[in-house]
Amino acid sequence: MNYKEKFIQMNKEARYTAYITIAIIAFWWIMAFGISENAYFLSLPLWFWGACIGTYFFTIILVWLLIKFVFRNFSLDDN
Amino acid sequence: MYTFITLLPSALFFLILLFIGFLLKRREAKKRRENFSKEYFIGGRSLNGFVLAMSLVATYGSVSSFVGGPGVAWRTGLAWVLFASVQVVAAYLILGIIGKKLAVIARRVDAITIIDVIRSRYPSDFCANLCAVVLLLFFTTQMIAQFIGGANIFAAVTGLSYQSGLLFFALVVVLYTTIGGFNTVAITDTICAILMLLGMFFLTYAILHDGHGWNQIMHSLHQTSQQGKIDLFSPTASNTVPIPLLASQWILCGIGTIGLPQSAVRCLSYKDTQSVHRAMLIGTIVCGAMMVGMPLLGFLAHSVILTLPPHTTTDAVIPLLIAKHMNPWLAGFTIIGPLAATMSTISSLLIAGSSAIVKDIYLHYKKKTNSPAEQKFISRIGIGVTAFMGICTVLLAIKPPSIIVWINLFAFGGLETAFFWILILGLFWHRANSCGAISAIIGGLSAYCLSTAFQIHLSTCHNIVIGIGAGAICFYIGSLLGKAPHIDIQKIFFPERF
Repeated sequence: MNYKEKFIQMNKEARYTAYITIAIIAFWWIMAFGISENAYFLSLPLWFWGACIGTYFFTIILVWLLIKFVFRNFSLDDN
Repeated sequence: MYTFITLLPSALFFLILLFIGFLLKRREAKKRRENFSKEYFIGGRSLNGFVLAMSLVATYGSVSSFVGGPGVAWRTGLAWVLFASVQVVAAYLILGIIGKKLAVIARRVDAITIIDVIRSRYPSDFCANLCAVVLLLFFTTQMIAQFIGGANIFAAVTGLSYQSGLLFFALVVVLYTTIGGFNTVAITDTICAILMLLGMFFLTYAILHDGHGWNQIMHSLHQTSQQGKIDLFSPTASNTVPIPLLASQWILCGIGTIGLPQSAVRCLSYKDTQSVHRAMLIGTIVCGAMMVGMPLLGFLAHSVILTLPPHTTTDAVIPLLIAKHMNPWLAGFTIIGPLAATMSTISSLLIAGSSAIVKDIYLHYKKKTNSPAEQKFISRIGIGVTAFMGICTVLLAIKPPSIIVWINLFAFGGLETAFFWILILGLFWHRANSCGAISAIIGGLSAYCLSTAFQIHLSTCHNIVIGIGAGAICFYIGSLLGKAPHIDIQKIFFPERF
């Protein structure tokens, strides 16, 4: 990739990083406040499982997908 | 005898850190002779994915993640775990949004500090110097706060006095940072991150053991929650953590972390794109585990520590857990966790702060007056300034002036307010210029600090909202009032437009 192409690629990567972040934030809010406060699993509330543990794994999966399908390798130096 | 056993693992830990410092100094001797600053301040851009990830996480995770946060979770319950969980994005977000652009541009303009990048984007000495001053001010107060926090927990667990504990670990971190430079900081950060994770496991074991198993712990917590004023199982802790505060937390400890210079500088230090991609994943796995795990442990600890001793704050929870609910050997190993969190943060702040004085202020001045300095001289200055800064902050931590503690309240939010827009808009908006940058720093910081000092708030939101919001407005207006950046700068930062 030449210098210009790298920047076009990096802009795309930044855009998609922003997209998954919006998804993660939405997931977090829905899990924290969109679930009944009275449901429990292993004595801990479901909202906790979803928003804290769920967001953790959701983020890992999205970051993995991001890297696999959007991010590209190229030389960082000017060639 | 108790103190000796508890101190032994820490002493061993310190020796390992010092050893790495001395080892890397010898290994880098040749490269330092050729280009001291590049090796000492950015490690010759050699970090791989694993070290990059661990260093980022260890620098970000500090004594508040290990002591303060879990302590609040003890009192507030799962709402604080929710509050802390937004930090799961802190690792991948900065790397994904600005991590690669910073790396590419840094190589193009030969930048080894964040202020180097800022200077090449905004060709205004005033702007660069202002950034350096803000950075130094907040970094030193943060360092002192870390020293205080670390010394407090060290003293509480080992029985040493505050001063002895402080001098013990503080001089170690100043020494290995000064001698070893950036690569030492990165590698010791990696070890620290691993030890932080280990510390978490030991704490989990202690709680499960002393709490007599999961069912008993949960039973106790439900009882405490029902009897108390705060519902430990509510996402807002009976509105102690109101929704606007949770929302603004996504700015303060979520999106805003893109602006932290101590994280951003790591984007200049890795060796290839494979490293940064790997670091995004590893960093998320480790950071998320710590940021959710530690407050969760604080919450669970409420089943083991039912009340706080008189004249203590929630900061006492984790030290009590280690000191009173673990055998001396386990306590000795577990104390390394919070110490590692503190030391890794301090070492990164120290090396970055020193680079601001040496490279961004002093060497730039020498370059401007056309009197370049010799490598040997630069190395003396570099090491000298690092040592001096380190020792001064330690001395200030012995009997911290209240002004330091006060400024530290603004430090984290202040750094984000000052650097967030300057970095993001600098890299993504071609029209951003020095006028906008300077306006954003002055306008944003004033709004943030004044509103915090005078207790002006937007609902129950954290004032970072005011800081970032004011910064955005000032940046936009300032940029439009000034000229568009020079075409040479635009070609480097926005080649896609040509």
